[in-house]
Amino acid sequence: MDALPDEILLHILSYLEAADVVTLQQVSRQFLNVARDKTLWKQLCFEHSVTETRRRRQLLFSSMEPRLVQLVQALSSITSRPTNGHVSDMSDTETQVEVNEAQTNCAFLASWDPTCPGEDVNFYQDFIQRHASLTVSWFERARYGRSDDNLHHTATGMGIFFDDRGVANKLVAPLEDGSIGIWDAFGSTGRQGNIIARSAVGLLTNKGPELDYKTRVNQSQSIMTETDAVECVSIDNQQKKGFFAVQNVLNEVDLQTLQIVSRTSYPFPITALSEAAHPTPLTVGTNWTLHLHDTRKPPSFPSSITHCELISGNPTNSLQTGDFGGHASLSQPGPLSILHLPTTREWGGNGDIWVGGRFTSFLNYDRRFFPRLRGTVHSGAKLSCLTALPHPFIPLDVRLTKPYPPPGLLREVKSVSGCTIIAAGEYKGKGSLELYSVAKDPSRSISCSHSSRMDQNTFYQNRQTASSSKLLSVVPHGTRLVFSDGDGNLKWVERDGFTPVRQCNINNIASSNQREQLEQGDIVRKISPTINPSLLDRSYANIPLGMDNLLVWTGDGRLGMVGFGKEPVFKAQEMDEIALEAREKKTMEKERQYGAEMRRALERQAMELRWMRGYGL
Amino acid sequence: MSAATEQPKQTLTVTTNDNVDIVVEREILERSVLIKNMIGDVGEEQIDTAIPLPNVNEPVMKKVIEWCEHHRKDPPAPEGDDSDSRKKSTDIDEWDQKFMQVDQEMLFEIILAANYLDIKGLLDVGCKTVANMIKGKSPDEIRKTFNIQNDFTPEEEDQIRRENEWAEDR
Repeated sequence: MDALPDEILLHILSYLEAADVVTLQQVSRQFLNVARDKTLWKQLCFEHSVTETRRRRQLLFSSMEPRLVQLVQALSSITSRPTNGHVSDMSDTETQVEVNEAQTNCAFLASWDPTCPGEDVNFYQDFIQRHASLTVSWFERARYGRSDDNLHHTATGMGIFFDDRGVANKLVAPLEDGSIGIWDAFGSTGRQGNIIARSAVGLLTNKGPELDYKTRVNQSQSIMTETDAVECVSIDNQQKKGFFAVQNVLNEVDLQTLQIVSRTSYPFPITALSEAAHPTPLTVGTNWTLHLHDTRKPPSFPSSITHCELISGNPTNSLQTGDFGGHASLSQPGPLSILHLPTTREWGGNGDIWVGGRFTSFLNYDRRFFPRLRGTVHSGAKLSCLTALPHPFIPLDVRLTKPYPPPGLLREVKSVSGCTIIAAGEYKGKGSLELYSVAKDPSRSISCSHSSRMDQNTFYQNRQTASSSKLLSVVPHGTRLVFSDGDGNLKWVERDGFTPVRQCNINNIASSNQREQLEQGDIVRKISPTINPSLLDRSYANIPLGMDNLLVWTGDGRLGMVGFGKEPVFKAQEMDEIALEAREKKTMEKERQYGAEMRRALERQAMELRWMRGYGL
Repeated sequence: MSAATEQPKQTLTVTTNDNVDIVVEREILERSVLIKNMIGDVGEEQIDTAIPLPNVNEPVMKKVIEWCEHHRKDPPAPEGDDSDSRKKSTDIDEWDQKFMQVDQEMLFEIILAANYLDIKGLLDVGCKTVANMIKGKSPDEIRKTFNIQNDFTPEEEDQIRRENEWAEDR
C-alpha cells in the first residue's frame, strides 16, 4: 500500500463516502495527508450540497424517460467544449453519455463552487461545518457579588478581541450593571468559557463608589438597557482598547487595565458603532446624526460634560464631540449598522462608509468628504445588519443560466475586483437577505449617485425564502453566510444568498450544560465568527480544525459559542465547578496550615511556661 | 501483401523489465493509451521492434494482457479530464471481480501498471477493488488489512481523533 503514489490513493478515495475517508485519516500520516485533500473534500461538499442532490434527483427522473439521449445531446450542444473527433466516430451513445456527464459534472461543480480565484479554503473544515451536528457552549454568567448564585447579569453587547492570527481570543461584553466582563474564548488561560476579568460595577455608566452598591447596580441597569443598541461595542485589536456606547456617551476603555481612557458625549443616544481599526476613525451613529471619532485624539479625562449642543460649524463644539469633519445629520432616525468597507490599503481605502438602519435606504459616505452624502441605495427593507464579503458579486443572470453557467463566464465574473455588501433586515414583516455588488467597474456596481437607476444585475434581494421573521444579524462564515432571525433560527446559506445549507434553532441545539437550559423563545441578536478573515492575510486554510466557530449574543443577554461536532467546544459550568473545588481545597489547605501554626504557637507557649517555671516563678 | 487483411492479426512485442518478450495482438495492446501513443509517435515502420516496458514485470504484464483481452470490445475510455466525475458506485462486474482476486502485492502492481500504461478501465477496477476493501472498516482494521505502520505519536492520534469526533457513530 505504501508503494502507491498519492494520486492513485486519491483515485481510490474518490470511490469512498465521507465517513470512510474520515476513518482513513486515522490510519497513518500518508493517509492523513491524502484524506484531507482539499479538492477531494470540495467534491464531497459539492455532492452533499442541496443544489447537487436536487439536480441528481431530477436526473434520476429524466433517466427513466426514453428521451434521455435527446436531453444529453441537447446538453452537449450547449457545452462550449468541442466534442473531439475520436469520440464522435465511436457512435456509441454510452460513451457519449459518459463524456457529457463528466463535462456537465465539472460545469455544475464550477457553478456551485463558492470560492473565488486565489481564495484558499479548507474544504474538510467546510464539510464539517456543513454537516456535523451543532452544539452550543455557554459562557460563564457574571454574578451579582459572591453571595447570590441565582441572579445573573445579562450582557448588553458583545465584542471580540482577536489575537495576531485573527482568531478570537477573548470575548468582551458590557454587562447590565455597567461593568465590563472579559471571557476567555480561546482557552489560552486554560479556562475557556470562563470570566477572566471583570471591571468595577458602574464603570461604563459613570456611577462611582460614592453611591452604595445597590443604587449603583439599579441605576446602571436602567442606563445600560435604555438604548438597546446591538452594535454598541467595538474592539480595537491593535490598541487593545474597547469602545462602549452607553446612551449618548462613547466610553473608550483600556482593556488591559479595564479603566476608562476617555468619555465622549454625543448629542443623541448612540445606536451604532463601526469597527475600530486604528488609525481609521471610528464612525459613530447616533439616533439622528453620524460622527467620526478620531481614535488618535489624546485622552481627555472625563470632564463634567454630560450633554452637548449640536451646532454645526462651531469649532469648540466639534472639538468636544470629537468629530473633526463635522457631523452628518440624518433625515430619518435610527442607524443600526455601520460598515467600513474592507480594503487592502491602509486608512480604510478610499473611506467607504455604509450606514443601514430603520430607514429604507442605506447611505454611503466617503470619509475624505465626510459630512457630504455620496450616495444612497434604496433597499426598501429596514436593515438591521450590514456586513461585507471581500469577493465580487455574481450577477443573478449569470448564476441562473440554464442549465449551468459557462465556466469561462463564471471565471471572468469572479475575477472582477470588488466586494459584496450583505444586508439583513425586515421587509413587510418577513426576513430579507440582500446582496449588493460594489465593484470598480461601474456597470457591475450598485450606482451610488443615482439611486433611481439600479441595474438589476448588481443586487439580489431574497425576501421569499430567507425567513418568515425579521433578520437580526448576518456574517460570512467559511464559504457560506449565516444569519439569525426573530424566531431564534440560525440559518446557513450559500454565498448566492438563497441556496440553503442548513439551519437550526438556538433553543434546540444541544447545550453544553443541561443544568442551565435556556428559557424557550430566545433569539440570537448578534453573530460573530471566531475567525476574522480581514486580520488573516490569506492563510484562512491554515487555521486549525475546530477553531472556526460562531460566537452568539442572545436576546436574553447570554453569550455562547456554536461549535461543530458531537462534543461542545467547552463546558464553562463544569470548569466553574472545578474552580469551586479548587477553591475549597485551598481553604482546607489554609485551615490545616492555620491549625499547624496554632499548634506550634501553643507548644512554644507551653515550653516558655515550663522554662519560666524552672526559675521558680 | 495488403494491410487490410493483416490488420486484425498484427502483433507487437513488448519487453518487460525482467527481460521477457511477450507477443500480443496489436488491438489488445492498444487498450493502453501509452502504447497507442507510442506507436503513433514512432510510426508504423518501426512496429517490429520490441517495446520496452521498464516499469512492468512479466507476471503483471500477463495479467494486464488478460484483462485487455477480455475487454477488447469495450468502447475506449472517454477522453478528457474526468477526475472530477466521481462515480460512487463501486460495483464491479463479475469477471473483473474474479480477475482481481489476487494477492495484495499483485493488486497494487496491477494498479501501478494500469496507471503507467494508462489503461483507465483497469485502473478504475483496481481502485474500486481497493476502495471496497477499505469500506466500513475501522482504522485498526485498515492497518491490519494493508499492513500499514501506525506512524502517529499518541498525541497526534489523540488530536486527529478529536478533530474527527464529529463523524463518529455514523
